[in-house]
Parts: sequence; C-alpha cells; structure tokens
Amino acid sequence: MFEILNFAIPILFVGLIASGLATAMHKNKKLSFLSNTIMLLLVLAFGIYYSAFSISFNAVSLYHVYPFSSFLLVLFSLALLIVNAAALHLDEKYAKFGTMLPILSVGILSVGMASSLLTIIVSIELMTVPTILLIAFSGKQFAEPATKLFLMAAISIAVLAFAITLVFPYDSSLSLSQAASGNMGSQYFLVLALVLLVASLGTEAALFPFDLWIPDVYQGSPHSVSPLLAGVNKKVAFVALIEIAFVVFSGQKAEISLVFEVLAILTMFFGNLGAMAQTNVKRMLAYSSISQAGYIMVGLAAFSVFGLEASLFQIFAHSFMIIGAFVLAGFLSMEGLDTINDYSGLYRRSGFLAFSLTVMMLSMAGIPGLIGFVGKFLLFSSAISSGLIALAFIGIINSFLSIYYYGRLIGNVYSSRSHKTMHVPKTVYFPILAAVVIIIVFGVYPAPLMYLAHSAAASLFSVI
Amino acid sequence: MLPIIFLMLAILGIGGLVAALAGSYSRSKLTAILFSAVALLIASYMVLGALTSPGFLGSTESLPYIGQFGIYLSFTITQFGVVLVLLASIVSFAASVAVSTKFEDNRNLYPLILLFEFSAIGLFVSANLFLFYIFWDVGVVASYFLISAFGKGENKHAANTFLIYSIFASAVLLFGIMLIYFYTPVHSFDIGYIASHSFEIPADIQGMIFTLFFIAFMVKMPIFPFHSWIANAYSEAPTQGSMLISGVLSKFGAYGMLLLFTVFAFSSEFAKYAFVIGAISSFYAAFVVMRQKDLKRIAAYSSMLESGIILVGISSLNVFGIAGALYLMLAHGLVMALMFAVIGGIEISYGSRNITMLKGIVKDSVGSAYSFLVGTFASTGIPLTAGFVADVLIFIGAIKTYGLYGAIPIFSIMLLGFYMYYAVNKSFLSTKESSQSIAKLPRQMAFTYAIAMAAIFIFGIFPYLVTALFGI
Repeated sequence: MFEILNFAIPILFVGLIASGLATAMHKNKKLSFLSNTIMLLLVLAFGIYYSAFSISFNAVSLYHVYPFSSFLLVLFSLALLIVNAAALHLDEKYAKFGTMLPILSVGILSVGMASSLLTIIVSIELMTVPTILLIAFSGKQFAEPATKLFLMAAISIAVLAFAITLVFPYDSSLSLSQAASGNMGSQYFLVLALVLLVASLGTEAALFPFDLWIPDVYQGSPHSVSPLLAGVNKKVAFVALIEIAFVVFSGQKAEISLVFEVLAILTMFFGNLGAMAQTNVKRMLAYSSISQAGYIMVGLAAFSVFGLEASLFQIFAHSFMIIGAFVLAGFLSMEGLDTINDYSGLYRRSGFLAFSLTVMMLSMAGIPGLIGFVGKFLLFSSAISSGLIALAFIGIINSFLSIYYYGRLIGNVYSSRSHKTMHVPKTVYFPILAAVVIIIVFGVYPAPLMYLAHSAAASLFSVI
Repeated sequence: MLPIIFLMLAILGIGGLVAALAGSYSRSKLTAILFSAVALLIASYMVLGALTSPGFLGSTESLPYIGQFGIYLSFTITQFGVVLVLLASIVSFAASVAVSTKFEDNRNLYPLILLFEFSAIGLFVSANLFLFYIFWDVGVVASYFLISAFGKGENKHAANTFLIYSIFASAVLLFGIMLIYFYTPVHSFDIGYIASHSFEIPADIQGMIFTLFFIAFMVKMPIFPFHSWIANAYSEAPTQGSMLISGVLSKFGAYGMLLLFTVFAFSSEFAKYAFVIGAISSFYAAFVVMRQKDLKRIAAYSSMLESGIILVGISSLNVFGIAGALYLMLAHGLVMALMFAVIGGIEISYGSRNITMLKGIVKDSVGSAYSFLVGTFASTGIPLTAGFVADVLIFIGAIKTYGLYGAIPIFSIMLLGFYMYYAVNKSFLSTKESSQSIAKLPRQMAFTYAIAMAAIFIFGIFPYLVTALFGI
C-alpha cells in the first residue's frame, strides 16, 4: 500500500503530462481545464497529506519527500490551480495554456523534491522552456517579452550548468545530501561556483542587478502568463537557490550571508524606488515583486532555521498576493484599464475588485491582519535574531517607502469619479476570491502556516 | 468572571460586519449607533468596576495565538486603559450619531467608525506589544480610509500625507518592538514582563528603543517637528473622521508615550528632554494657531498644543503629572469631538468655516455658538470643565519635578486663550452683524453636541471618577 503511495507523485506527473498532451489533441476547453484541475488537486491533496503527517522518504534516489518539499508541493499546486483557473478568462483560447501549464508544472513541482543538482537544473529547464513557448505562441506582439525571457533564461541556465560542473570534482555524485556531508572546504573554484550560482538563479529570482528584464517581461507578457511568472516561476528559482546555497554550500555560511545581505538591500531599494516612478499598474506590480524578492532575501541572509522559515512564509504569502494582483490587473487591462489613473473610481465600477485590490496592496505593504505583515514581521525578526540589526532597519525603511505607491493606487481606487458598473466573470471572481481568502485567513491566524514553514525549514537544515 | 474585553471587541467586530452588510445608509447608521451605545455601556461598566471592586484593575484575559513566539491574545484593564476606553467609546458614539453634509448616500462610513473603535479599544487594553502594534496599524488604516474616501477638496493629498507619516511611525515602532522582543532575557512581548526586566536590555539598545518609540509616538500625538500632517488631515476629513482622528487616534500616541515613560524604567533619564520638546511644541502650536482663519485648522493646532501639554505632564514622572496627562487626554479627546462636531454643524448651517466670513453665529444657531464656547472654555482650562482639572494636575506635577520652569508651558495655553476668545467673540457672539444661515442644524448634530458637552461637564465636576484610580 505505502509502496504505491510513495510513487503517487511520479504517477501524477505522468498524468499531468498526459493531460497536457491530450489538450493539444482535442482542444476542448472545458475538458482540458477539468483534467488539469483534477491533476493539480490530486497533487495538492498529496502535498497536504505529506505535510500534515511530516512524512519523509526517498524514492529510487530520484526524489526526496520531506517537510520542505511537501510545503512547496502545497504552495505550488495551490498557486497553479489559481493561475490555471484565471487563465480560462485571461486567455480566450486556453488551448496553448492548457497544453503548456501541466507540462511546466511538472518542473515546478519537482524542484522542491530534487535530491540531486541535476534534478534541479532539469526541473528549471522544464519550467522555463514551456513558459517561453507559451509567451511566444500567444501572438506577434509578444515576441519582445518572449525573446527577452529566452535570452535571460538561456544565459542563466548556461551559467548554472557551469557552476554545477565546478562543483562536480568535489562531489561527483551531484547529490544534495552527499555534497552537504562531504567537507568541500573553501576552495577557490567553489567560491567561483557560488558566485555563478547566485548570478544564475538571481536572474530568475529577480535579484538586483540581474533583474532589469523583469519589468519588461512581466508587463509585456500575456495576462494569463504574468501571474505564473511572478507568482510561481520566480519562487522556483528561490527554492533552487535555497537548496543549493543552504545544503551544498553550507560550509560557506559567512560568505553566503554577506552576499545575500548586500543583494537584499540593493534589491529592496531598486524595486521600491523603481515602483514609485511607474504609471502602468502591471509594471508597478513587477517592480513591487522585485522589492518583495529583496524582502525574501533578508530571511535567507539570516542563514538560520528561523530565517528560512520566514523566507518560506514570505514566498508563500507573496505568491498569492502577486497572483491575485496580476489576475486583477490583467482582467482590468482587458477591460481597457492600464494606468494608475485609469483605476480612479474603480470602487464605483466593482466593489469586489476594489476591495480585493485594497487587501492585496495593504498586504504587500505589510499592514497587520493580512498575510504580508506576518511575512515581513518574521523576516525582519529573523534578521534581528541573527544579529543583522542594520539589515532589519533597512528592510523596515523599505517597507515604509513602499507605502507611497501602494497608497497612491488605493487612493485612486476610492476616488469618487462615477462609472458604469462592471461585470466580473466567475473565472476571474473565484481566483481573486481564493487569493483574498488566503491573504486574510493566514493573516489573521498565521500559526498553522508558520508551523508548516518551520518544520519545512528545520527539515532542510537537518539534511545538512 | 465574564471575559468583558473579548465581549466588547467581539461586539464591535460583529457590529462592523453588520454595518458593512446592512442594505442602506439609514440601517447602517442605526447599527453603528446601537453597537457603539452597547460598547459605551460596557465601558461605563468597566469604569464602575474599576472604582468599586479592587481586583478589577489588572485582571487579564488571554487566549493562545502564535505559539512559536509565545504570543497570546492577552488583554488587561489598567488605570490608563479604562479611562481611554471610555473616551474612545464616548467619541465613537458621538461620531456615529453625527452627520456630515455630502455623504448622505455613503454607508461605508459606519463600518469604518466601528472598525476604528474596535482598534482603539483593542489598543488601550492590549497587554502585549504585538497586539498593541496590530491595533495601532488597523486604526491608522481605518483613519486613512475615513479621510481618503469621505473627505472633500484636497482630501487625497491630506490622506496620503497622513498615510506616509503614519506608516513611518508604524515602521519605526515595529522596529522598536522587535528589538525589545529579541533583547529581553526571555524573549517576550508581554508589557508586564518587559516592565520588570527593562534594565536587563543592553544600554545601547535601550537608547535605540527609546528613540524609536519616542519618534513614533511624537508623530502620532503630534509633537513638533512631526506635526505637519495634522492641519490637512483634520481639516479635509469628514466631520466624523475629524472627531475620531483628533479625539482618539492622537491618543494612540499619547497612550504610547505614557507606556514608554511608565513601563520602561530607563526612559526616566530622557524625561527632561521630553519636557523641553513638549514645551516647545505647545508654544509653536500657540503661535501657529494665531495665523489660522479656518475653524478646523484652529482646532487642529489647538489639539497640537494640548498634545505638547500632555507630553509635559508625562515627562514630570510623578503621579500628579501622569494622572493629569491621562485626564487631559480624556478632556482633550472630548473637547476635540465637541469642537469638530460644532464646526461640522456650522458648515452645514453656513456653508463655510472661515472665521473672516462667519459673523454673529449666535443669532441663527444658538446651540452651535454656545457649544463652541464650552469647547473653548474646556480647552483653555476654565473651572467646571474637564480641562481645568487636567491642567491643574499637570502643572502641579511639572512644578514638583522641574520647579518653576515647569510652569512655563501655562503661557502657551494663555496665548491660545487670547486667540480663541478673539475668534469666538468675533464670529460667534458679536451681535453687530450676522451671517445668513442656509440650512437648519440637523437634530442629530444637536445630540452629538449634547453627548460631548455632558461628558465634558461630568468629568469637570466629578474629577473623582478618574483621580480615584490613582489614589489622589
């Protein structure tokens, strides 16, 4: 019985790929949406089952289920479910999306369970290539973001591969746990590998100075893909970064902490100052997601179980905030509302959209009672508890700076210009509602999610 | 015993939801009046309990919340808390009775009033700093929406200024709270625990914590030089918003200041600087108020002046000064509620609040004119009003600690008095010529005046109600 359960995830992956391929054949919108949703729901169910009972096992040295990976299974399958549902409206044809999403979700879901460096690089590749195709196939006007994403992804994968080859002489099995146990010392090549690794994954994870492509691609991508890019793909890069930096390079604690601290500070300032100057909402969200990447780095710089817990919590929190926000912005963009000024009087058009946008923006700004506050609170606390008081202070100052652009958007939404009311279709309503519910529920009562994040973080550290 | 605080917060939370979901403006308003009246009754019961039964003060209610940090949803009734809870519920009740002209159709005002009352009462009774911070920020957000969505004219600008100042204060406060948590011997947010262990925090961190907290509370009170948000925020908010923000939200800062100087023993070495800052702030406000023509701005700067006096009282660090500061918070909250209600009423009646345009208000609207006069009496400390008791206590305290220098801030109140009586004489009581009223004062506004004035006189004639809590 348990033998079968151990292979449930690979079987579901096969199912996902089959669902994607089937979509390419039959092109029935409803059917393919249904099959994708069911597959993801099953993954979610297993993820919840694994994390509820803290199950851990190794299966054929291919993948490793432990609280860390179970947490990510829950997070990514939930996020993909929302993205998938929203795409039904944001992408009218859905056929291409329905084909690509299950395939790339295999890459996304397997990165957390990776037990070797090769699995990580393959999963990232499996995630990136379909995403590029998805953007490129959406029409001629998307050639620019597709090309940009393609170039950045190609270079970052090449650099990542080079970094892994540099590790190879010291760890010929390429296995994460063996790399951790073997004392790799502080060789010159390892430091180079570390730098290349941060550069490569930093590109995908939107860390300054590798993040200049982010605003163009997030803004220019099809509305159905932007939530995926910002809410899921970016987080996958963070997961890979966490696994490699914390497990493989666990000996270089001081160097990693310093590098991450500097990156965190620069990324936060770049994102926040950039967002202040924007008028287009999607572009502003792109910059704000860069700043959020900086916050996540604060927890990683703390380099402790608590810091990792905080980062995982924030990864979870930001995933749903940004997915909700991009779905909302994409829907409004389809209705012809693009800039911050267009949003004025949104409150009169649709109370639901105005309320949801307010919740998401306040949560990103870190207002208590919402999930974003808990995330930031944990992050800055973890920095203080590791003795990085200056980093925590800079983080809090950045959090204060961000209120400028979030507040400006919210202020516009409630200005009293009157408009006709707007019809919100169900396929937009429910994904946004799901995001809002997650933001509020885990904001008001964060204890269960904090527990999961804590056991995930502790289990990653116990691999070392 | 009945979990009275949880009950009160639950009632306000439910009230807010009901008011948000009520179908129409009048139903929403009625809900707000009912629920805030119930909250007022509970608050009065708390005061009664605090005065009559000895074990009532200091009783704690708690539920587990976040185990990893040892955070409980814990509330306790203190001498400060019970008085400020009463203030918050009186002002919120008065604000939900009041009306303002332009937003008859907008029923979202009332859920916001109840949300604000929820946050204020939660803040005044919270027994740990984590909850203190949460309620603080919820209050800020509720006030932001009160200004942003319901104000008129320059309200967007005012709301954004308010938000930026407030979030700055929150950010600084949050950082201070985190520092305290990680530098107490057993990591804790509990105010009682921190009070008994504040000397074990390393000395350099003590200074940092004091500075952060002091800045955060200065912004909220407001104290010079962090005051520039008040004029716009108070004048562009709707009447109810001005009542709540000046009457209750500014007390968040004052209450924080009280906690800072009473809980953290190391603050005492900074008290003399606080005294000087408070005195400077009150004189600054007194001079600024003389340049104002808009009634709401006059009220706003007089509120800033009183905040300076509150800080003077707190910084004297003896029971008279502390009790006086608390009394002034109560008195000043009620006065501000009354003044802004009257100004709102005058705006309804005359369509203007500029004192150069308004003349002889007493002719057409007697109620507004005399209510404003009562407000002026109370804010300049005339006997029989609550302001008198407060000022007496504060200056006894200040003189005890700082000698005759302690009496200097009295002159700022005198300066305020000169200008206020000049304004009142000119626009309210002169009978030579009078402006034409364009609308009759709504009956709800008369009730609002009555609620605030009754409270001002009750606490002016029976100071025992508060001073007994301090044994003086």
